[in-house]
Amino acid sequence: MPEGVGFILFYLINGLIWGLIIALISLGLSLIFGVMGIVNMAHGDIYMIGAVLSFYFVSLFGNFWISLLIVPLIVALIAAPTERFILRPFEGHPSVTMIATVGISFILQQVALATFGGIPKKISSPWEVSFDFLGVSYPGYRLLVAAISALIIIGVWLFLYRTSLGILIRASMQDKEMASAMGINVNKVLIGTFVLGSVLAAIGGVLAAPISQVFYLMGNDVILLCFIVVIVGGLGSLEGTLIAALLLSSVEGAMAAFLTPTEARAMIFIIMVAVLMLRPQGLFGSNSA
Amino acid sequence: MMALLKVEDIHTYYGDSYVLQGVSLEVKRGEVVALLGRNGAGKTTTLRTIMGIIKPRRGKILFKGVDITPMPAFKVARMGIGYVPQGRRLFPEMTVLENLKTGMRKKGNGDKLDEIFDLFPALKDRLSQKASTLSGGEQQALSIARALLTEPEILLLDEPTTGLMPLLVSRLREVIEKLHEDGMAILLVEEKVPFALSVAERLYFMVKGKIAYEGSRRDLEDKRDVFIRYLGVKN
Ligand SMILES: Nc1ncnc2c1ncn2[C@@H]1O[C@H](COP(=O)(O)OP(=O)(O)O)[C@@H](O)[C@H]1O
Ligand SMILES: [Mg+2]
Repeated sequence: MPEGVGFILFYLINGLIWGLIIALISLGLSLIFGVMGIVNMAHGDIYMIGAVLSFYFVSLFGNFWISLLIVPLIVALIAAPTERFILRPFEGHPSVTMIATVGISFILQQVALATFGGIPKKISSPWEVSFDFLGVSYPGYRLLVAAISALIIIGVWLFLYRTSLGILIRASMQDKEMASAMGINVNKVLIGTFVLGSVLAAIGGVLAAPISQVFYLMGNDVILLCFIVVIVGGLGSLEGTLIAALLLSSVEGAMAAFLTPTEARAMIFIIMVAVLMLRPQGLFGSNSA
Repeated sequence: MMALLKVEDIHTYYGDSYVLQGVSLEVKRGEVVALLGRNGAGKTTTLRTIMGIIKPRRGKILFKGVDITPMPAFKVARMGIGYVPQGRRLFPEMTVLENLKTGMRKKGNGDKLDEIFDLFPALKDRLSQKASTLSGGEQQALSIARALLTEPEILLLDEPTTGLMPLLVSRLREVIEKLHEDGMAILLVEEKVPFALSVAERLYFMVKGKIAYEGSRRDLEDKRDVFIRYLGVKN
């Protein structure tokens, strides 16, 4: 066990790395909510499916990196018809779509339980290297996860803010009716957003698989934190989501040095309540939201 | 000549409320037509129905001879109908340039953008500014510019002079005249009667979801009673 400054740093970095994964997943949740108006209760289970599929790919091919490429594709192929045939028919009825996503969540969990089983499993680290700094030996794979997550987040960001497709997505996010009156096929934007959001969750699951346990209920824990992140960041604000993810995860990570995980999570709830009392619209939410 | 836009007896509801009770009108190629009426008469609803944003229960909308009634709004827009809605409806969190780009369907129409800047020079210096930070006049300019970039053959303008000071209203008149010279058809919904009379060749008056009167500008010259009867205003 590390000591002193290194000790706290170790937990802080752990929290930050986890925060980047959470940011990745929350960004997907936030996009789906912002563009589609859907509270996706199955988002955490898509993360779980990412991890479970990754487990299978690793046992099949013995190569983790293949799964990082293929699993998002498989999830995209599942997400597209899910949007088109399950969510689209209820477009504009938020409570119905929310119930539909609860159903999807249940189905994904049961399918995972039936095939993968109910016992948590581990994937061995795909990169058995560790780095020493400040007297702490730190697993290289975790740093790699942080780097990959950060790159993907930057990539999504550039896509949304620097490409013409991104403009169409953000326009639909702000005013769907006006977007379609400008000639934007909003239905395509909706399906694209659901696929993108789901893929982000699945990538999160693949990346997290070697540093956590693969388990059919692993999404429950993550979805809770992601909802807190999206609420604290401000509904509909993508930058709020990113900042809240990094902030809350670092705090939770640092507190894990002194508190039990349950106590640390309780602190996150307290922070959420405090933020919402001071700013009901969240850190970056607009007043009208 | 075949009308560019022909609205045939449309009946539109919001839920149970019967708003458009058989509206028919037409706009010919290159023609500027005004649609007047009191608040709540159904002018905005007429434009929204033409755009395909709401569907009429009865009636037909023909554009260039094609029945566009069943088309979703984005297809109507791509057919060549530009929409400048009441209240501007910009994408407030996006920059001026990004707002303009939402209208640029075709690649490589940078020339089109230059034309837009000729028409609205003020926008050129504000490209990287958020739309929500623009002044009222600039917002209206952006809303029209954005619609023009979809390269429409007809522009639907819903109360474009609202909230503009007199100088900007006459600027807007010049813009409409310029567009008219270039052959753009315009269906203008207006509350300012003098403004409508100064730009439109033909005018429709709407009362409670129906067209109550139609006439050319000349027809109306000595019929001030029409304005009083249908709009309740003295011109
Ligand atoms: N979204 C809506 N839902 C229900 N009723 C509406 C809606 N929009 C407009 N109306 C009603 O339809 C009528 C016509 O409205 P509108 O077309 O906006 O009139 P105008 O543009 O001529 O002022 C009004 O009585 C208005 O209250
Ligand atoms: Mg109106």
